[in-house]
Amino acid sequence: MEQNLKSGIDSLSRDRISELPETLRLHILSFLPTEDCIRTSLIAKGWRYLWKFVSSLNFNYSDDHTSTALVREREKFLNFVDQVFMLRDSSDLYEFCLYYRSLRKSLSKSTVRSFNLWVAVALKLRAKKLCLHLYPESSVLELPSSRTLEVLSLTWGTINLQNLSQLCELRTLELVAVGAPSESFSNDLFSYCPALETLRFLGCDFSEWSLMCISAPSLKNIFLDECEWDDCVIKVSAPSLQRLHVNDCVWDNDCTIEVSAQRLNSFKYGFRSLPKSFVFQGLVSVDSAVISSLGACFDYDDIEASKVRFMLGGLLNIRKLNLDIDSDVVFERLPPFDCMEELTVPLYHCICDDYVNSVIKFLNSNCKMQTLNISEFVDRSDFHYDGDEHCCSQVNGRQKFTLHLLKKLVVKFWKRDDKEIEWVELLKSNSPHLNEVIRINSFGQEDEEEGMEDEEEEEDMEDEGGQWPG
Amino acid sequence: MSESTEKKMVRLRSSDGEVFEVEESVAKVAKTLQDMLEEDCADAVIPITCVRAPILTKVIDYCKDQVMISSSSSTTNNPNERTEQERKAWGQKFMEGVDSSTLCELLVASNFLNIEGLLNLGVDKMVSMIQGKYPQEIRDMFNVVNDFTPEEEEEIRNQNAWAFERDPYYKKRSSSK
Repeated sequence: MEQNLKSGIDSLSRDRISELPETLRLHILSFLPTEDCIRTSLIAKGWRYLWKFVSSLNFNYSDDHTSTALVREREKFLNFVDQVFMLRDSSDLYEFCLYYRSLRKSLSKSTVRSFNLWVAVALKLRAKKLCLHLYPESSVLELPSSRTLEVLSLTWGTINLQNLSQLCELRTLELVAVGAPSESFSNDLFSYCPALETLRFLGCDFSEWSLMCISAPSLKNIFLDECEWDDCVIKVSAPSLQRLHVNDCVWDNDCTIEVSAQRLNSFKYGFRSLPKSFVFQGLVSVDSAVISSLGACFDYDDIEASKVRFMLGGLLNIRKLNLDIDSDVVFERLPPFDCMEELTVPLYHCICDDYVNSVIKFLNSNCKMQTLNISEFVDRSDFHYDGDEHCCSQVNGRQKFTLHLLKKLVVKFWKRDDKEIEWVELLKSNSPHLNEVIRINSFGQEDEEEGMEDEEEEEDMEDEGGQWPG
Repeated sequence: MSESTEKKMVRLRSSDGEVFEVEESVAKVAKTLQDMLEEDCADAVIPITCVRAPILTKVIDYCKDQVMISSSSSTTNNPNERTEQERKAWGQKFMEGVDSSTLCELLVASNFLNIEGLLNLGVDKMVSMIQGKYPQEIRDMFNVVNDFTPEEEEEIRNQNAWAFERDPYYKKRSSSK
């Protein structure tokens, strides 16, 4: 293939990159840090002025702690950015990103003045996206009002959060902290952002907070990543909320999450720990939920299993559940879901037949369950499911269970081996109504498809559903 | 997925005269072709004047894959839907072994045919090739002839000294956090 591609008469020695249409070259340059982008001006004459028309500016500076001339280096950087703003064409800017890390305890006045100036110019050039990640934190900048700014990503303390209300078009707000946020926001802060659709907190330590309220009229997405709470009540009340994704957050002591969101559609929860309780109100629209434990060897005791049960108990209408927890205790505790059609489970290394049993039981206790997805076989060296002596349970015969409801089986392979094939065969031979088996390889491509001919199932299943103990 | 009723075929001719016959659904991944087909102004062979056969082959491979992952036997659950991780792995595999000259041709093709996903893959690859490189390295990579006089070169270097003086190989480019 490669040979074939090269075989053009003159393709090897031709300067194809300079032949690319200018718009395309500009598009490529817009993904580069401004420093690299400017460096391309020296490639050849056709590139000399191109950088001036690139619609994104992206600067990255951090103090090199081995340098002896830090003051001069910082100065040079400030001059460089100043110059770029001056020499650049005056066409509209799409984004301005500044990552600045200084070893100083706080930024110098002149530095802050420069930053303020750049932000003002960027907004004057109608920037839609602004990223200001400044360390040390809490170097408050002035944020002029803007009718164009849609995306704002900040380290906590960069601006006075009360100023957010001046950004009438702001749709996405990302707040990043390396530790405890240097200021708190008032409970109704986001209510003043009429267009705000996406809110993300990353790496914030909210341990000092006892109450956190998030409510906004048009908020659609909330992402909480790697944050920390201690003895705190978190209240989310958002009528338009569609997605709530919580990833790798830490909950100490008595934390409670209260969520009231009628339109919530997708709930994702990746965890190493769980808050004490979830209070879900009116989450009638949640269609899919992904619950995954991130700790490889999370030990589930009854309390944790109950918490998961409690969490899912508030999502009774879900249609798709992805439960990435290798614990039979959790499965045992789950209530039946009236609408659930699809279950996704992983098969990790420490699985034993108790787990398989509990999955089978769960599949059979949900009357609409049709599809089982199995993803990521990682390593199942301890995995015995075929009458092996190590088995701790009763599933050790191929006839001992029946999946009455299952119609479709999707297996995502990461590697194929006999065990995987055997496992699929086992499921197939015990699912009388199965009519579709799909295997997907690690590139997301379908490996092979099998249609099974025996199709006399269909309607009568619904009535029987729910009665099979598994 | 399964054998559906007769599929409409479309014929494409590359700049070097090779004719490719593909399913209509595959051709329609390219927005430019989709528009042509929908306006019904493409009955015989569609000439793709700026794309050579080996490149068009690669483009068609991409389109076929897109059709595969977007079609599905049931509407509720598409098993071919990729996770983020799988998409990345697939993209990497697809662009593997693509040399700089081919990459440029792929970019032109995906730009002309308006195939956003392929364009993004190409741009990503191009960005990763250029980032952190000095002008001479970029010239070598893409056979660009330096047409600046030493004086001009000096002038440009001085103008934005900061961008040129620091050695990109030793610079830590910390990503957003």
